[in-house]
This record gives sequence, C-alpha cells and structure tokens, in this order.
Amino acid sequence: MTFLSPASAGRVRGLFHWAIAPLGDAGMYFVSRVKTTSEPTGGISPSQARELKRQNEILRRRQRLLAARLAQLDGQIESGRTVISRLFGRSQDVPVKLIPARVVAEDSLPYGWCRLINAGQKQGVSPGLAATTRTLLSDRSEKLPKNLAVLSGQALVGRVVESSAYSARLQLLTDRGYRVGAQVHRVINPRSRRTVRHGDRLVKLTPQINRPVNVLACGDGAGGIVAREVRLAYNIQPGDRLQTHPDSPELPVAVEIGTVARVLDDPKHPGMVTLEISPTADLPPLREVFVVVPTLAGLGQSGGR
Amino acid sequence: MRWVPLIIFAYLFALLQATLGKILTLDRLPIGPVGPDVLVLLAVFVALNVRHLADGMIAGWIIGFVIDLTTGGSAGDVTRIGPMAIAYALCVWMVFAVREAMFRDRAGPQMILAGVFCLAAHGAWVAVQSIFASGAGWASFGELMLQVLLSAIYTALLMPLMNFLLTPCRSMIISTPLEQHRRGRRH
Repeated sequence: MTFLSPASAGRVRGLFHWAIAPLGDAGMYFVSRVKTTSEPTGGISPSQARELKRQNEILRRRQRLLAARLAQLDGQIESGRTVISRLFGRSQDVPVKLIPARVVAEDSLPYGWCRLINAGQKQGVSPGLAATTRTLLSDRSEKLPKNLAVLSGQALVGRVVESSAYSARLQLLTDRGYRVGAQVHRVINPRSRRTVRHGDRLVKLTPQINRPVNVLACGDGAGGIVAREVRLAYNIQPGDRLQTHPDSPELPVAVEIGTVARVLDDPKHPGMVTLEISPTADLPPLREVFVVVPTLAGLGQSGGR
Repeated sequence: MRWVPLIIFAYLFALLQATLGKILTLDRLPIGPVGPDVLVLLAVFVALNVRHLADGMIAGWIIGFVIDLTTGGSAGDVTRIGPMAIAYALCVWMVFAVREAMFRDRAGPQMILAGVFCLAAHGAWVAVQSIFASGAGWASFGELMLQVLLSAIYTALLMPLMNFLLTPCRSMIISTPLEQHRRGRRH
C-alpha cells in the first residue's frame, strides 16, 4: 500500500480547493453570524470602564487626525483625476468622420508610394481625403476585453487619389507627388534656448513668441519628406515637429506628420534652408488606416490634387 | 498561345507582386525602394518560348497592361495607363529578335535578357510618366533611373529561378512551344 507524500497530497488538496471554496464560503458566513449573536455578554467593572473611556479618547483623537489626512488625500486624488481626464478623457469633438480601412495591396512597381485600401465610395471615401494611421490606445496594463478598446488616429499617412465602389488608392506622404501645407512647431529646450529673429531683433525663443512656421511639405520618393525654401531666420532645428495645418479644409485638425531630421542650406536661395523630415508613421508595413472625412458644412472634398 | 491561362498567370503574378512579393522589396534604401518585377520574368519567358512574334507582342501588351492597372505612383503624379503595355510589347519584340543569337537555356543569357528587358521597359515607362507628370516631374528623373537600374539587376538575378519554375507550366501558356514545334518539323 502506498500513500501520497505531503507534497503530493498538498497539491491534490490544492486542486480540490477550487471545488470547495465557492460553495463553502456562504455556509461559513452563516455559521459565523449565528455563533456571534449567541455569545453570552456580561457586565464590566469600574476600572475597566475608566480604561475603556481613556482608550475611547485616544481613538477619537486618532480619528480626527485620520479625517484630516483623508481630506488631504482626497484633494490630491481629485487633482490627479483632473490631470488624467485632461490627458486621456473625452476631448472636444473635431469636425471629422473616420472611415476605417485596411491596406490590401501595394503598387506593382516600386517607384511610387501608393497603397490600395479596402474602403471605397460605398463607404464614403473620395479623392482628396486625408488618411491617418490607426492605433489602439489603452491605459490598462492587462489584456483588453473585447469591444473596450479606444481607437485613435495618430499620424498622417497620405491622401486618397483614386476611389472606386469598394476600394481606393492611397498616395502616401513619401510619394513624389504628395504635397501638403503644414506647420513646423519648434520645440523649446529650457537648457539651451535657440535664438530667432522676432521683428527686427534677435531674441531667445519663448512660448509667447513661438508661432508655428508654415511650410509646404513634399514627399521625396525615398521614404522621407522635404520642405524647401524655409527661412533660415526661423532657426528650425532637428527634433522640431511637423503637423498638418488645422485650417486645412481636407483635414481640419492638427495631425502629426513627422520630425525634422536634418536642416540643409539651400545653395540656390541664400537665407533659406531645406528641411528633411522623417515621417512619424512607419509606412512600409502600413496596414490599418483611417480615412478622414470633414463633416463641417462648406468644407468640400477638393479633388485628388 | 493559350490566352486565358496567360491572363490568369498575369493576374496571379501581379497579385503576387503587389502583396506577398513586397517582402522582396528593399524599402529603406536612400534612393528609394528597389524591388524585382516578376511580370518581366513572365514576359521574358513568353518571349523566349513563343512561336510567333505577333502572339508574343500581344502577350507582352497584356502583361504590361496588368502592371499599368496595378500601379498608381511614380514621378510626381498618379501614373497613366498604357505606357507599360506598349513598352512590354516592344521589349518582347526585342527579346524575340535576339533570342536566336543566344543560348536561351543558359542562366547567363536569360539574366541578361531579363535585365535589359526590365531596364528598357521601366526606363521608358519612367520617362513617359515624367513627361506627363505635372510640376517637378523631371526633378527626380535621375534618382528614378537609378532605382530602375537596381531593380533591373534585382529582376535579372531571379530570372533563372523563375524560368525553372515556369518550364513545367510552359504548355499551359503556350499551345505549341518553339522547341516542340521544331521537333515536329524535324520528324
């Protein structure tokens, strides 16, 4: 005859706990309540009463201290909630409708940057509309349950140039034919502030005078974007951000395009520079996109050019 | 020529090139993407094995037309349909004309023919698209031609493999392949 060793027996019992615990909990609650109410209660002596009074006083003081501390913590929590709400909460709606689409094919030849997407006129996609990346955002560190994810457009990827009933062709922003009016937002580094021309004088760049610089961004056909003939006086530096112009009728919201990678002197135009910009979106493996349809009255869809 | 199988092959090759075949494309080169054109391989295979020039040129036109239909971007504008169809038809004529002077079963000549075919067809296509492109169509012509050259070399390297894979399917595409026709004449 053989017996399970303590280690093996513990494992087997551990398995059986799963069968016992859910049903056993309710029974044990009932047993505990019955026993508490059926306990006989007796009187106390004068010394025990004084001791209880003293302890009661100590507990009251401690309770007041804890209440004050609790009020302080409540204030901190409320302040944190405000910050979190501002960062992740519902913001003001932008006047656009988003059409989800998926890249289903590329061009046959490698000389252009175009993609075929599986949404077309039947879904409301027409030439001229912009497209952004599609990213899942979540503040949870755990696995997300179904239907609870939040979708967000993250960066511009291009525009629709051709559209048919159920598919459309997307021209990526690195294509040689892509052009978009954009704004460079200069990043202020508190440790070493850049000098810019403000009016007639050179001043340190501060948030008060840091206006976005309007540029015309074009695809370079080699996976990047360039902005030519930008005034040297703006002192744009690598690391500055390129965004779409929020007043654009095709995309009436500022969306990230890329980051300035290099600033090159323009030999043909003294006092001007050429910006080389790296796109924010990773375009070669692009898969999920949003086509952005402006919904404000009067905002037209102005063709594919 | 068996036209329906040829069209099916052209479609499958275009599908392969626009989707799965993009694994072979080198996207992050400083001059721009460089990738093989597997439809060139099909066109060269047809040109090497077809019996009549007219059949070969029509087949080349069909294959080029499929590329035109599946390509949207090039020298600064949305591309036009037609240049590649004509370029392929003319390049098939070129291969047809020189094939007798080369050892067609050898890998070397096949690679040279595929490379020259790709260089000529794509070069002509890029030139025509640059002419039609508005704005800075010619500004990037040099870079595009460099891409064409590297793509042609890349395509040429794949020709022997594709010839090996297509040879068992030869009778599916071409009703009376050239060799079979010659054997029949000898007997």
